[in-house]
Amino acid sequence: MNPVYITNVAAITAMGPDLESLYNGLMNKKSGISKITRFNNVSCHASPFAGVIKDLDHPKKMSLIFQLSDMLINQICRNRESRIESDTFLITASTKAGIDLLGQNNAKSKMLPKDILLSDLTQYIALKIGLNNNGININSACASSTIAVAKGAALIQMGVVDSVLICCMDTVSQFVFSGFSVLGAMSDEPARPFDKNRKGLTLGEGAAAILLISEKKAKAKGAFPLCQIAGFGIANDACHLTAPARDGYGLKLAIGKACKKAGIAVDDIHAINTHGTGTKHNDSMEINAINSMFNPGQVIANSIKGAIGHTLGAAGGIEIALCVKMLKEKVMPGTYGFLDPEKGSEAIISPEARSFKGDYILTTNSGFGGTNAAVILKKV
Amino acid sequence: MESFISGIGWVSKESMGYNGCIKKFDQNTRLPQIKRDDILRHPYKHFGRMDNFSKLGFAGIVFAMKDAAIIESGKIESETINPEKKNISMIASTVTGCLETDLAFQETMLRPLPSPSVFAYTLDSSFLGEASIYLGLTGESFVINEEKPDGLKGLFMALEIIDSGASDIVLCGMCNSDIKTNNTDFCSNTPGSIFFVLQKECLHSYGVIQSNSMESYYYQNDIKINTLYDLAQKCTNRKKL
Repeated sequence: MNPVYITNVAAITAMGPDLESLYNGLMNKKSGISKITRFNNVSCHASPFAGVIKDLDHPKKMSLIFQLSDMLINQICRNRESRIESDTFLITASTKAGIDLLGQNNAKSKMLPKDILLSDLTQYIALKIGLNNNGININSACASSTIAVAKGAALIQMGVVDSVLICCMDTVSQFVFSGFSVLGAMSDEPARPFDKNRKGLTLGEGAAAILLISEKKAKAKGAFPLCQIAGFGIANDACHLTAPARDGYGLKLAIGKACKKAGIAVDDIHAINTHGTGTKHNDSMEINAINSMFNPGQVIANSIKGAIGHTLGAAGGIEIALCVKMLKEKVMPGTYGFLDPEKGSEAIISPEARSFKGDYILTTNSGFGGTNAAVILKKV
Repeated sequence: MESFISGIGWVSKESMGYNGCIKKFDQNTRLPQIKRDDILRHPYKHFGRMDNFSKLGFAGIVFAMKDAAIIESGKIESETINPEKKNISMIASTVTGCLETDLAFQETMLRPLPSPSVFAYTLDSSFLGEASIYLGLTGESFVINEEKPDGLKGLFMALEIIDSGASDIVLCGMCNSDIKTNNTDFCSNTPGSIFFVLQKECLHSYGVIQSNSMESYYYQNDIKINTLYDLAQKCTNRKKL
């Protein structure tokens, strides 16, 4: 199988306009979460907080997702050492893309606003970058972008394409904010992943772009690999629509598949970027899965959702971009909001930044519908 | 890459079901309202809560699995609680996704308390979650949103899953509601759901589907396939051997 490398990454989050500001913000224990002013806080809203991007304004008759796309495209195309060529296959990952357009529409109208289809976002990005294909969007709840990276890597491994660009994004909309509020999933204070007193998640918005290329193409272009995609795995809990399997069944399957694909033992993993939403069930599930798969003291782990919020379909991509940086620095930032450890998390999670050993980092995401995905990055 | 096609299930304006068990509709101008006993013999508590889009996709998947005899048609459908887990993957392509459900949730946002049960289905992939619970499917599951409503990129990824050994059985198909969109390509196609069971090995099949690039697909070595509907037509013309 052809090795797959990452040669270009970009990220935009509530912490700042690029990956450096995200990493440095986390290292300096900063938070991008603030009181939301984008839309009126109504009685059903369970929280006044969200991780919103500072310069993202609400344009009339246009979705914020296209504004965010423009910001991301500007950033990913700025890297002249790793240009995106026109034959690059595009995979976007978004769960709700231009859903904010519905708020601008008559709710009873069955005629949809222009650009509301998820494929409209993919086409928009393809056209803006000048690609010769319209690509696809992958949608699997909060594991969407992790799966997009896995599938992109699979296409290169098979030799079907030489380069794949993953662009993932979701925004904070009144639609999603109201939905998570009434589901009882949101915290009335900024999320505190893996904390004993956590109350739920905080929504966030963000975007990331990841350029995957084959070894052959990297050599031909003289592109410097930032890291290798060593393995990936995807699995379903087959258990519950909106809650994870308590024992982490699907997550453990996904991690096992990723290790097998990477040709490594679970013992070779020493650092994990978790999904860590701050909800009772998700964080307990992850602690159970980690403690049952890894030896005591073997791994350190973190969650970034206490600092930037849960960015839904973009979460996995942002976290993979951050893992590239973590792998380079060999330092994992601490978990913002983690004060009083949940039982079983004491030896794994920390509010402090820590160095880690080994050449691999594992990142995982889970979502509604029982979906789970794991990606292993290897230092080069 | 290649795989056998062992089952096909569908819901359209004209009919729904699978080979040998087809319910036809006369003069339907819209997709049928799917009832539990159209698909399942025994009560299933999750069925009633599903949105129309999920029922559409769920029905196509269950029909395809019955056609492939992976679940027994008519005899045992008590796989409603803790079914045996199976490493079977699912990929669904869609243009419309669950936009009809999005509109329904948007309407409930006018109330003091929007509906959490409607919101739970405002993900295009929700019906894959429901199918995985009902059938115990623990493989990969994701939706592909595509501009061109042919379902072929999903088919390619399904073949890749089998080829890589991630799953030996993959459900692959399309699911679209009959909501009006601005996608002109889609408007010329029939809304509904159609799912295929692809298997690495099987005793009885409609034939073999092959592809080595995302642009070309061949049925039985040399018959070019342009859409999943095209593939279904070729398969049903040939019948299962």
